Amino acid sequence: MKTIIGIALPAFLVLFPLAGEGTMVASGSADARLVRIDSFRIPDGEFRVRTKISQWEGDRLAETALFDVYVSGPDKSLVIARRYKTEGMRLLYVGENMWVLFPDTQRPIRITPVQRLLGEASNGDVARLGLNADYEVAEESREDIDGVPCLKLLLAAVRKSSTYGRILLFVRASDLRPVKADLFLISGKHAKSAVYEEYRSAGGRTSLARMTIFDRIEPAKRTVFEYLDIVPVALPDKYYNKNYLVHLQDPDK
Amino acid sequence: MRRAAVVAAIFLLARAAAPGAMSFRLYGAARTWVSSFRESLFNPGNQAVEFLGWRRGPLASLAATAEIEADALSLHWRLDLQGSAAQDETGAWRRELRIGQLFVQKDLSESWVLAAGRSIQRWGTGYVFNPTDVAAPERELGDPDNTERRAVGLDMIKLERFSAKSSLAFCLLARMETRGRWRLTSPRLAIRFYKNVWDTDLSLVALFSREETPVVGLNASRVFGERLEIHGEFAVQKNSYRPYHAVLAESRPVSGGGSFLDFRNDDGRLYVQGLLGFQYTFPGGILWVAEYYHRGQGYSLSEWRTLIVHIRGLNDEMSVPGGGPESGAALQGILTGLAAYSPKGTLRDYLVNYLQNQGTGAVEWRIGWLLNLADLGGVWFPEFRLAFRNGFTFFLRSYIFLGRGASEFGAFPRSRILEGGLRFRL
Repeated sequence: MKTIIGIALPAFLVLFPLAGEGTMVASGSADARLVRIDSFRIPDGEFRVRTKISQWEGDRLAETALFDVYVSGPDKSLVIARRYKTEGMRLLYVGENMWVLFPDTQRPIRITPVQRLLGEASNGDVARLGLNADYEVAEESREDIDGVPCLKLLLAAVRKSSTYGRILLFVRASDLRPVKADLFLISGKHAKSAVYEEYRSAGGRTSLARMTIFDRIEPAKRTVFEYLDIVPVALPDKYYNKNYLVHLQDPDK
Repeated sequence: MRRAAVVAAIFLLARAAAPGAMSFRLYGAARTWVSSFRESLFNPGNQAVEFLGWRRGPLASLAATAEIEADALSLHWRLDLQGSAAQDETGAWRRELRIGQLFVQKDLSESWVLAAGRSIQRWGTGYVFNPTDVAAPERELGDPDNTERRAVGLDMIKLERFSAKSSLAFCLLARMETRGRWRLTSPRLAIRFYKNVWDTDLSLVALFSREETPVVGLNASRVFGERLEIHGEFAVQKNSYRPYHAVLAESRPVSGGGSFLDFRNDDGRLYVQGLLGFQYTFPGGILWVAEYYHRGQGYSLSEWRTLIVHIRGLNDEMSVPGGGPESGAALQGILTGLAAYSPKGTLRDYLVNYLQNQGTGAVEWRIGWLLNLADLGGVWFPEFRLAFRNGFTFFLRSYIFLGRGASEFGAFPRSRILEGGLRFRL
């Protein structure tokens, strides 16, 4: 049985890029379209995203979980499992490096991109956080989705640690707001699809509030992401040092 | 036991007196196991087992660990209190209450962290053998991650400075004697410098003490591509401080069979421990961990053979009417001295493998085997786990000792242990 993590967390972190707009622009290598696409999902700067993830198997709610993702720039994030079977688990991503500290252990473990953490989840699924940092637009065309004119962008991985080899992303032509995406593994296999279902406006900014991921192999299984809370949180550098994971003082306490 | 209870009570009272966040977790396990014995070099005619009073079983144990974390008085507090009631090999019940960890932590600034008390610090990169884990208890072969919380930390004061990609830790270690008057003995200083260089984790480690020469070491870990992680550890120390059977000491006459001496504590030789390993994830999520481990302080094959000759002599004595008890005691001494109750081996070169699925739902399995490269004997330890409800896991595990008669694992009195039980986390 695939669990929430198998589809939800990886896809969440890939499809909910966590690199700030300002950071990307400052990097000087940003694709303006990807920067704009990313801006529908995240604010600028350092922040925490609290996300509720629900996995459905047909009409049955199989599992729910809650994660806090702390982000600092395009290459650093810290994930704490708040409500899950390994509650308290900590994942750390810094550049190409990934570590996990399970609550039962005292040593952060170096992990590989495809190594499974929980359920069907691969480390690589959660490792790369931003479209703009990891992908470039390889092809572009136009296509209507439900009567809405869209840009069809084929994104190709530019880093060896990118989670997917390709992403076929559909965005509204008028404002580049994401509509749906198809995710392809490096092997070329079409693994998952995402539908960006609900946006909300607050403070003059429109951001993604809900999306659903469908497993391509078992379509009856779907995973719903609800973005409950995005707040500015700046953590000291030590939080992104793998040796601090064992000492970690909960940022929310 | 009484002191552990007193310390725990003080901790809880202090916590109750100060406001702040607190979390409480209870872990535990109920287990039962049976052992199969065989006639072997350490157990001629099953006499050693009879002499020692070992029982086949089933034997049982109950264990629980309360983990309490609290934030109070501007400090982070942690207590792991381990309680157990377990049968030993003879079937006698033993109760124990231990403090696995008890420390306070203070983040002095954005960079500096201070911790004091008993804690477990894992510095090595290896999965089960860790030459550079100089500030941690040894790992168990069947539970290297200490998921069953049987490990007891070391008493220390630790000061560590963190930056984005590096850290520097100083640990002042001491053994806390709690029998009679409380006091600290055997002070040691452990230092680790960690830095991530070109996406590689590198750590330099050193241990200084009054009783022994310094230990210096290095460990590293790096991921290559999508599926492969490679890690290594290296440590060196002048002289060997582990005890060896007296039959190996040329200048010392052997009397009895259980005499162990650290007669290499001033031989001036450099003793090296090294580990090289990898973990590889197959499509489908199967994880393979393999490690080669060299322990320079271990018995060489020729030394092992010398010991075997001595054991054969004891066996011959046991076959003589009236000669059993003394020789049986000698065998017991050898078993104890070789740490044969712990199946991690006592010679020099080993290969350890773990193959396991990873979190693919309620059913998990793992099969591990430890191979003595000198005599090709080994231990297999398969495990099956079934998670149910929230926090409960049924497990079934076995240790199977294989090898020729004179091999390290073939000489064990036990040929197999079958263990089953229930773990819980509340």
